[in-house]
Amino acid sequence: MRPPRCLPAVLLLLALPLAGHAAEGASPALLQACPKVSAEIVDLHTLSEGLKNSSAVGLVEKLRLKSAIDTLIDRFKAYHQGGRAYTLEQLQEQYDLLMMRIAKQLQDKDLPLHGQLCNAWGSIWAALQDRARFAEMVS
Amino acid sequence: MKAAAALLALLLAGCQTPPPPPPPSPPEPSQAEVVREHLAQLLADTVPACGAVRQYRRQDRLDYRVDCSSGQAFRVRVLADGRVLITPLAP
Repeated sequence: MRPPRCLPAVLLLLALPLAGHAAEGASPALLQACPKVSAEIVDLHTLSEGLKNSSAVGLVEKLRLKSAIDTLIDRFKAYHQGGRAYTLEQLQEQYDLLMMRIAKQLQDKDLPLHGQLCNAWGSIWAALQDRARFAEMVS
Repeated sequence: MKAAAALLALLLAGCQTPPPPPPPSPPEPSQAEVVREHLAQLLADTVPACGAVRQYRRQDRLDYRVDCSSGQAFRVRVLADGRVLITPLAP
């Protein structure tokens, strides 16, 4: 049975609150003043529902971002399976740009989620580039 | 009777024909194309007149100079608090 097409995007988005605990200190050096966020305020269900119902991001942009997330996940899959269409450095740049797009949509409109994304920026990257952790994330 | 059996055999053979191979996936865009597209999307809300990204320069990990097809230029960067800031530059 094939997993639903939206699964990678959901997994990436759901990993936001977990990733901050997985690889602390992995954030880009620039992101040293992320807002403090309480880990207790968001669990998987709450975050999932929050994203689904968030008014910070319009429907069209949600679809664009979902497509971009799916594409990036596919490229990481290919990379971890030996594909060399992009180097890891190039994938990091693509990841950063995607996170910038999401952050720009959330800033000023959904501060808790924006703060969570800021804090998890580096640790999500750490999980994506690690073959074993990536496989766990998408399995 | 023989004709019916032959027809049945043909039909069964047709059922066992493997499906055609999937069409080859389109080639991945170049890194520069991917970056240009992301930067264009980043600028689209704030500067609709930018249009396509003519060229860009990565100045730091989260810091770009972007030249638009409209002739405008912008600095797109992430601040320490995670906010994305877009500021106009002299073209």
